[in-house]
Formats: sequence, structure tokens, C-alpha cells
Amino acid sequence: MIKLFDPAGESERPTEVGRIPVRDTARLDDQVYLFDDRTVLAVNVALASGRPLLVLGPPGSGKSALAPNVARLMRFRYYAEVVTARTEPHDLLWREEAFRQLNDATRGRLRHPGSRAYFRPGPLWKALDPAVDEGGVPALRDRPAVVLIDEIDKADPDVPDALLDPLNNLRFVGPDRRTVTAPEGVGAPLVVITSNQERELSAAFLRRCIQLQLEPPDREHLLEVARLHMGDDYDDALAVELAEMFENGSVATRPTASTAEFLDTLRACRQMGLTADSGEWRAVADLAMVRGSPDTSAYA
Amino acid sequence: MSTGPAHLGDLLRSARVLGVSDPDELATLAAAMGLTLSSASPSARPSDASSDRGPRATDPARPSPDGGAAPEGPDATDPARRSRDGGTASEDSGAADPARRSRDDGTAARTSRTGPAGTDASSAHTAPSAPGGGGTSTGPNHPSPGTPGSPESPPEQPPDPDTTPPTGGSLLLIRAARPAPDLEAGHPLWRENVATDPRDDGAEALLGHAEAFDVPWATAPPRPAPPWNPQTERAIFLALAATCRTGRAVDHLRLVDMAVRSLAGGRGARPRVPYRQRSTTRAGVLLLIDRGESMRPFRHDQEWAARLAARILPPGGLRVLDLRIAQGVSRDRGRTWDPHPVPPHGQPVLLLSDLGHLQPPLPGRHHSSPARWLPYLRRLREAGSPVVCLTPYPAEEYPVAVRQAVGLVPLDRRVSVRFAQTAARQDPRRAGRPR
Repeated sequence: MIKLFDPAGESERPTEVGRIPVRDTARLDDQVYLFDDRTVLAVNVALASGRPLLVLGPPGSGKSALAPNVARLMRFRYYAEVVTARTEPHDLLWREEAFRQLNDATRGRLRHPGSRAYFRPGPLWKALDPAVDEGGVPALRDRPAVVLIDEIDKADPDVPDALLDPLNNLRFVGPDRRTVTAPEGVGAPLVVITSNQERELSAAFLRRCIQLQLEPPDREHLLEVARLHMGDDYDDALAVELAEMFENGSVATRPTASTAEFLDTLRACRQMGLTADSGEWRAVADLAMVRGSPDTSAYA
Repeated sequence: MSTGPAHLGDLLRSARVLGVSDPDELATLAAAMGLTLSSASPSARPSDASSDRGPRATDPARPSPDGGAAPEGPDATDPARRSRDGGTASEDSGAADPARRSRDDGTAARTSRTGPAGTDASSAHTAPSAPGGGGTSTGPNHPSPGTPGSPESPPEQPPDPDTTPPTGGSLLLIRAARPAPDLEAGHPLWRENVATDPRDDGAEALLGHAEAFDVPWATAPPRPAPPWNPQTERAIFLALAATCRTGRAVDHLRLVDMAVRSLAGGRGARPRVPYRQRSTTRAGVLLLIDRGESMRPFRHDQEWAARLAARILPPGGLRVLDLRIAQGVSRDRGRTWDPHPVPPHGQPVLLLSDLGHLQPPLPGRHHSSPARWLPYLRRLREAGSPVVCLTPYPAEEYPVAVRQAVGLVPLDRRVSVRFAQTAARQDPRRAGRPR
């Protein structure tokens, strides 16, 4: 087994920085995605109806990777916002630069209160109006956008409720009291919202979304995903062994093991030079493919 | 998903954009959007034919406009059929996941309201053998032993929530308004307690069909209706569980006020940005469930409230503890007891208790009185935790000292969001004083 980290031989070993994979370039999550028929249909329906696509499913099932891959394939602009417990309703529309405004006021350089200098457009604003996106790709400026609102269930319940009108009508009133909407010639954005279903979304919000439930992966799906992600490094025998281990209960019974952990295990085995013939891949799988299941009991 | 006009419009628009004209493709598209087309699938046609008797004939669970139960087909009293139906949608929605069950129930109810049978697979499958029965499970809560079309009446009848008071349930059901008839008919709550045996475990192959020996209804007692209005329970709970925190949005009104005071020559305040307050559940909630004797009749309401909290609050934000005022709190369902907890500063405390209001004629050793609760309630307040007690009784029935120590919100259908906001935000120390 190749050891990328070996305390015993660390002092004698020459520097091998190149062997350690760079995380960003080693992953192909934004460049490879296995679309099944149901997912394709759901994206089509969301695009055709102009409704947000609400993607539900267990962690690691590919909810967040769907949006960038749709944007990549359709050559759409792409914006993402990861929702946290501190996300506020207007964060997806704009953020106010209050300190900049205060600083200008104390220096006597205060601009018009509705000046764009005091407001930073959020992903939904950028998606609707590419003119405010200063860092966007110029070649895609006249293309529609895909907006990913990731893990919306982490936010307070008023966040999704405050987005009902902007998502429903794809327009909102900006801080300068002007209506922000998609200009003519640029199509409506595709809004993809993901949720781990950690808490319930309101019925009004659910009613406005096209819902796509990603199911836990089966063996064929895992192998196909592995082929796509690993490329030339795909080890069929090892992938089959891991898929069987995943499917046959030793791992799949744990609620948090999913496609992402399966790929992590394959990548780890490849980097460490493990094959299906070596017995050590099972120990690697126990570490990489099994994640601790959280205690879902509310009893403290 | 809703079958409202907005989504029908979405379906038509999507079909036009995607160039869908074939009925089967249209049905697939509708299914992807969460809509049900009653006549789209050829497999649904037989049940459509049965729907000629009228919409209610295909939806036995739906009450008639005059308030009575809808007429049932011959199979409605068939124990074997009822046993088979026991494994369908209403029960398979999962007892282990209350949030999911709630959503599934809602979906099922909406589906059943969409009209004729044949909208789901089970109904299409059973329609030919049950011409008048429709697809949805009729539910034993509408028995018709004397129906002329049912030659074999079952020897016993299941409990009927419409006529039988729920055993072991909340007294609130007597005092509060009854739920809407369609809710009662669409949610046979007592059937949720039925344990469904797995059908594919091989036992049937070994022992043969056991349906004839099945009890034709659930033996579990009926579960009472939720004490709050299901349409507003979420907002009511959020009003009680949320706390005010400083947000990131500038409070322009206060900013203008500060500027005006500064221009008017008031005391020069150092420049600062006033931010708006927003309500959030970030602080979490400590949910204390009173396991005293006086709350025993309301244990279903306590379970309901705990499920509601788990649905609405983030997973890490909810802590549920059993509480007996004389013993402390228990984390292991009463095996061991710890001292009364005081949560971190600012974390709301929701207390599911009557605070010893109910005085049984023969009080046991765990019985309490309102006076015994006061020291703990005051300790919580002094620790900076807003305390709200969800009680089965009106606030007016409590002594002034208790009303001053804690906000009281009845477990009652008449409670509104506004009432909950007021109860949660007002200073309980003023609650007993005349205005």
C-alpha cells in the first residue's frame, strides 16, 4: 500500500508533494453527473414551467451537484448560495453595505440612499439581471442562469417563506424601489433548491416547487457513477466489491453512507494503490465509506 | 402537490413548451409535477366507469355535503378487504417518522380529494373487484353494518371517532371545536397505530393466507385530534419557540430617528448602525414534558407537541426532557432523575404541563400543585430564559402568581398566532395585573 503520510519514514523520505492529490482538481463533481430519466424530466419540467426545482434526498446523493452540471451542459450562468442558520431572507436578493454607507456619511461623501454602491446583489438578483454581475463570464452574459440555493432547511422558516414571491414571479423590488426582473432576451433562471429534510418546509413553499426525490443508489447506479468519476483510473473489480459491500448491508444500513462516500473510498483506494486483491481495501472502506450516524433522538 | 389552477397552468405550459401531446406522456409529465390526471391512463378507465355513480361513490372517506359519511360499496364491510387495505397508503406512511407521515397524510388527503378513483395504483388495481368501493381505503371509521349492500356484517365494529369519544385522549376534545369533517374523514388517526406486518417475509407462503383471522380493525385506541388548528399550528409554535436576535438588515426607521435627534441638537451619539430585530430559532428550545399524574390524560397532546417541535426546529436545536417537579428531569424515560436544568441564557423553555392544576381526588406521590412550580419557574426567568407553558387549561384558571411567572398558552383550537405571539413576548410579571 502506498502511504501518503508515514510518520516513521517522514524524515528520510524526499518531498513528494506532487503525489498528494489537489482536492479541487481531483474531484469531478461539477464536471460529471449521472442523469437518470426522472431527473432529466424534472429539470425539463422546472425549465418549462418556470418553477423552482426542489431536490430532496439523503446527504451525498448528488443534490448539490445537479445544478452546476445542468448549468455546464446548457451553458447557463451559475450562482450558488449555501444557506446556514444565519441566512436572512434578503440575503439571496441583496446584502446591504451598511458600514460603507456609514463611512461615506462620516466623511461627507454620502451618495444617493438607493445607490448600487451600498448594495451587493445576491445570487437571485445576478441571475435575473446579468448586468449587475461584475465577475461573470462575458461569453455567457446573454444566457439564462442556474441558481443553487443549497440546504434551505438549515435556515429559519421565514427564509423560504420570504422567497415565495420572488421565486413565484421571478421578480422583486430592489433596494432602490425598482423592480428587478429578467431583461428581454434573457430567459428565466432555473432555481434549484436542495433540502436534507431536516425540518419541514411550509406547504406554501412546497406547492410552488417541482419536487425531485433522489433515491438511495443501487448497485448499477454506483458502478456507473464510479465509471464516470474515475475515468481511466476506474478499477472495475474494486468498484464491484465496494458496491456489493455497500449494497449488502454492512454499510448501506448506516443512514449517512451514500454515493459521495462510495466515491471517496474509490479515490482513497486508488491513491493508496489498493486493488480488490489486497485485503486492506475493506479497512479503508470502513473508514471512508461509513460515516457516524447522528443521534436523531431529541432526548438529551 | 396542489391541484390548484396555478399548477394546472404549469402543466399546460410545460406540455406546450416540451411539445407533449400524447396522453401517456402527458400523464408522465403530470406525475412529475405532482398532479394526478384521472382519465389520462387507460388503466384507470374501469374505475372511471364506476365513478359514474357520482364522485362520492369513489371516495368513501369523503363526507357527504350534509355532514354524513359517504355511501360505501359492498366491500366496505369486508374484513378481508379491510385487512388488505391495512397495508396501503394511510398506514405505510411510516409511524417512525412523524414529519413524513404528516406530509404523506396531507398528500393522501389531497389526492383523495382530486375526484374519481384510479388516481393511484392501488385504486386501479382494486377497482374491478370493487365496483363501488373506489381506490382509496374506506377506513373502518365509517362502518355501515346495516347497509343493504353488505350481506355479511362483521361481528364487531371498530371504534368510530365520529361518535365514540376517544379513550385516553384529551379533555380538550370536549371543550374545543371539532375539526373539519373532511379532516376527520380523511385522517383515520386511530389506524396510524396499527402495526403492519411485513408481507414479504415468507410467512404467508408457509402458513397460508391469514387474512380471515385478522382482527377487522385496529385494537389500538384512537388518537385524539391535534389540540391546535393544523393550519396554524406551525406558525403558533414558531411564535412560541423563536427568539429575537439582531439581524443584518439596517433598521431604517431607527436610523432616521437617530439622524433626526442628532439634527435637532440632541445628545450626540457615536455613529452606529441600528439593525433590525428578527425572530429566529437559532437559540434552540428546551422542551420539558411534565410526567406528573395530572398530565396523564394529556399524554397524547404532549406527544403531538414533541412531534411538532421535531418537525419545525433544526435537529440540533431541540432538547426534550421528561420532568417531574418533585424529582427533576429524566433523560432515560424515568429510570434516573437529575436536578432541574437551567438552559443557556436566552434559550426558550417550552413547558408541557398543567402546573399541577388538575387536582385528582386521590393524589399520588408524584402529584404537584401550582405553588410547587413557582420556584423553578422563577429560576428559569432569572436565568434569562423566556418560559412558555402549554397547558390544557385557560390562563384565567391559574393564580396570579403563576401568570406572573410564566406565559400560559392553552392547548386549544381557538389559540391564534397573534395570541401566541402576545403570550410569548409579553412580560409575564404584568400578566396578572389589571390594565
